[in-house]
Amino acid sequence: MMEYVLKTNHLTKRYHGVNVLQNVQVTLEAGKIYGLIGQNGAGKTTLMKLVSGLTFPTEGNIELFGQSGEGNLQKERKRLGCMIEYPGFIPYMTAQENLTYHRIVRGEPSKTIVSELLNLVGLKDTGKKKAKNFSLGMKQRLGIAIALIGDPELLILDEPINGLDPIGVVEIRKLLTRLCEERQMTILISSHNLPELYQMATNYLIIHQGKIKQSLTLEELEENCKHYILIGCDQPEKLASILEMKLGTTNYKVMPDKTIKLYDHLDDKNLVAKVISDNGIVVINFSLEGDTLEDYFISVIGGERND
Amino acid sequence: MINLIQADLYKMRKSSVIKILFGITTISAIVMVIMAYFIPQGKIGNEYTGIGFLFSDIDIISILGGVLAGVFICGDFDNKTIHNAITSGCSRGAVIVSKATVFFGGLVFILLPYAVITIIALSTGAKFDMGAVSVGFLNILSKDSTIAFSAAVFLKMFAAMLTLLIVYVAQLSICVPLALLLKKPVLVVAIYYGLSILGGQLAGLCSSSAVLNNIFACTPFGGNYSFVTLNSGVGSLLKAIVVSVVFIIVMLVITFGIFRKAEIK
Repeated sequence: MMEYVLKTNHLTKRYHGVNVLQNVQVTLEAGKIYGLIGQNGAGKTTLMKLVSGLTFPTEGNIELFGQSGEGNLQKERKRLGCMIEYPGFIPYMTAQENLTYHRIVRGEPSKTIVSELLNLVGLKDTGKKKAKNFSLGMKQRLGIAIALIGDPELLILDEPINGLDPIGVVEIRKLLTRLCEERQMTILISSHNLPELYQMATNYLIIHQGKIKQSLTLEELEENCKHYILIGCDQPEKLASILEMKLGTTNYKVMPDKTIKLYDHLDDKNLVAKVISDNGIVVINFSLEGDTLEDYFISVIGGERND
Repeated sequence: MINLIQADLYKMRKSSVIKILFGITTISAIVMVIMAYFIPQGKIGNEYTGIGFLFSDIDIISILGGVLAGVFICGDFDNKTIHNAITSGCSRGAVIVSKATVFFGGLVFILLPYAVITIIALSTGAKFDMGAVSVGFLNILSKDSTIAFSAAVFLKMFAAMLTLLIVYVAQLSICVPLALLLKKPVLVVAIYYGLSILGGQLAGLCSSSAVLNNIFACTPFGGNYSFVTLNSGVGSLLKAIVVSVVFIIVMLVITFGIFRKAEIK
């Protein structure tokens, strides 16, 4: 049986008559990293706030670890770790004191977890430096460390790599990937840095104007973003056999509209064109197609490519 | 909830604000006692009782109590400790009760210098008086100076001071819903100080209206609860405590009503 960590059913959030989230149906499976992609104001943070209990749905409901209802959700939230909008910390305390504070809040008995987490996020050498004097990147790391107290099963991170330097980004990416792999932690992460998200997430949720426009796996995304030569012709069956016989490739797809997507020989279009022409096939369309992640995102939300 | 209280006590211990507030109340208590000592001797004129009142517990706590609520409750919205408590599965009721408990504890802590210095002053047997402006600990100091110390007197003093602390905590419990609703320390301080002044004015009107007096007696601002002395009877003290405790509960219920379904931004 599939194990769902989070499931939302027709989740709607309305502010002053305006739908910020509309009929959102999301299902998160254990041990995966979900990238939540959306423009500013798309509803990413609202969705995270609803899941974490900071706000309440107007309609619909949330299931956390198979439990629903406000009382049950509250209990199940002990299995969450969150950093939403910006990292929360007590400015006049050191990183260690901040983690100690949150360790006590969570009733975590192990005192060694504080030094372990400081080590994990690269803040072990901050000593007596107050959190208010931290750089933005250090604050982000502290926020992530706080979210990791209690070994959460679902980690919700809103723009966690904001303000991190390139090395920090790589470290946090490796950390999150490791947490997912080693501890089967489910991570819901929003970011505007799509290439970075692409290197981390196993699944993607594309949200736009409060609606989930698409939910897809990394494989599906790669498939959708794959570059190919799109060939439209009068004899697709013949073209398919020529591709196999003359070009020695089976890496192509015949689409329902009888066009063919050829994924090989992208750097050798002249050869492809010559082979097709030499075999007397009339070409209607011959173009290099495929999306970058950004292009694909824009096309899904109905941006300029679809206009 | 115990975890939240322990964590907030840890946070308060690490804060310099509570130490500064404690320092201010200590200095103010000393100034208050010195003025109350010199005024009856004529070394400071009676016209300075107004200035002496500015250093009294009722006046100082009306400001610093609001500051304490602002820093330790409103501040928790800024540093997201309230957010983190809720997202980690703590109920909103537990958050309210824990914040209120630690806030009340903080109030008692910063009021302690007044209690201790009043006891020390009374134990000298000297005459202290600040006239008509005497309220709270200053009232005990003014009314009960020159009293001969004994175990029974000390017990009465302890009971009166404990009652007074509970009354102050009850008065300042208004800051709990204010802080959780407004989330702005400046507004909490200003509104509470305004309310305390209004309370003083209304208390003055109570002598001319039995109805107003009865209504006001249901709150810790009325019923002369801030004027307990060593001569106050057990009944008076108990009434002050009961009214205060009920008022605190009402404030917490109101806070829960406000905060239960509030959006936490």
